[in-house]
Amino acid sequence: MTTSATHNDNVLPPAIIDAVQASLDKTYSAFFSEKPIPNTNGQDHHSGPCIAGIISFLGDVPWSLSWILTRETAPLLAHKFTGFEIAFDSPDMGDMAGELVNVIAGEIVAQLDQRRIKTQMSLPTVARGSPLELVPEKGPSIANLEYSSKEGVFWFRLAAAKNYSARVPGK
Amino acid sequence: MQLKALVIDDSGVMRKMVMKSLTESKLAEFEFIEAEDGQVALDKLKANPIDIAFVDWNMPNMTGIDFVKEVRKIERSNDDPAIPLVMVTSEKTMGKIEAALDEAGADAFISKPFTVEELQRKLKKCVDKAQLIRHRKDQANRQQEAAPSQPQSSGGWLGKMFS
Repeated sequence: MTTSATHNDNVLPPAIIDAVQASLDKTYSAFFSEKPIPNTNGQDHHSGPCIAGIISFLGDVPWSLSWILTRETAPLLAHKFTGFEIAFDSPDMGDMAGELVNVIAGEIVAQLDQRRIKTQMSLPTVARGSPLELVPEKGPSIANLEYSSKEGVFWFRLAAAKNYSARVPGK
Repeated sequence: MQLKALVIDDSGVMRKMVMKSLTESKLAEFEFIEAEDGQVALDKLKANPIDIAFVDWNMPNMTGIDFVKEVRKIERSNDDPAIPLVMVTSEKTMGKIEAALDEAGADAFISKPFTVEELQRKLKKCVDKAQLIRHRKDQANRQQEAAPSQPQSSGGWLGKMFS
C-alpha cells in the first residue's frame, strides 16, 4: 500500500480520529476477542499486494475511511470473521473487505453521533493493488493509522476536506 | 418443521455467514433461498412461499427498509399474515434503528457482528411466529384437500400477492 500523502497535519478533526479508534476497539474485540495495538512508529506504506474496504461519510464533515489489509493479514481476519477460508485473490475476499469496513463504519456513525457530529455512511467499495495506491484528492488532510494484531498488521487511512474541519465540535 | 428462509444481502460472504450462523443456532431446520438485493428478493417471493426473511439494511437498488415496506403493503392488501422480517444491520444508532423498524414494520433486528448465542436469544420469537404461521397454512391446506368440493385457492397468499 502506498499513499501520496502520509502526514497527519492535525487538521483532521480529533473527534473523528477518536471515533475511529473507539469503534475499532469495540468492533475488533467483538469479532476477534482482542484489541489491536496502535503502532506509533509504524510504516505508512506496504509494497506487497493489499486490499482495502472504503467507505465515505457525509454530514457535518465529509470524509472517507479505508481499511487496508495485506495479503498475509486479510485471509486470517477473513477466517475469524466468517468462520470459513477465503483466498486473498477470490471475489469473496472483496465482499469480506467491504463488509468489515461496513461494520466498523456503522459503529463510527454511532460514535460520532455521541460526539454531536451528524453523519451518514455510503455503501462500501473495495480496491485491490500490488502495491495498492490510494491517490488523495487535491488538498485533503490525511491520517494513516497502523495497527498490529494476532492476525497481522493493517492500516486505516482517513481523508477529510480541510475546509470542513472548523465546523466540528471537539476540533 | 423445515422453514423456508429468504436471506437478502448484496454481499455473498454475508449471506453465507447468516446461513451458517442460523444453521448452527438450531432454532429451526432452515431451507435457504438467497437474493442479492430487495428487488431480486421480491421476484423470488413470486416462486417461493417464504416463512421468514433476513434482510440487509444497506443494499443497492432497493434498501432493506424499502423491501420490508413493500412486503407489508402486499400482505395488507391481500389480508395475509405478516411473516417475520428480520433486519440485519451494521447500523448502531439505536434510535435510528428502532424508528426505521417501527415505520417499515420489521419484527426484529440483529446487529453485525453477531454471535450464534445472540441469534438464539433475539430470534426465538420470530422463529416461533414463523412456525405458527406455517402450521396454520399447512392446516388450511390439509382442510382444503379433505374437502375437494370446496373451491381451490389460487396458490396461497404469495400466489395472490403477485397474481
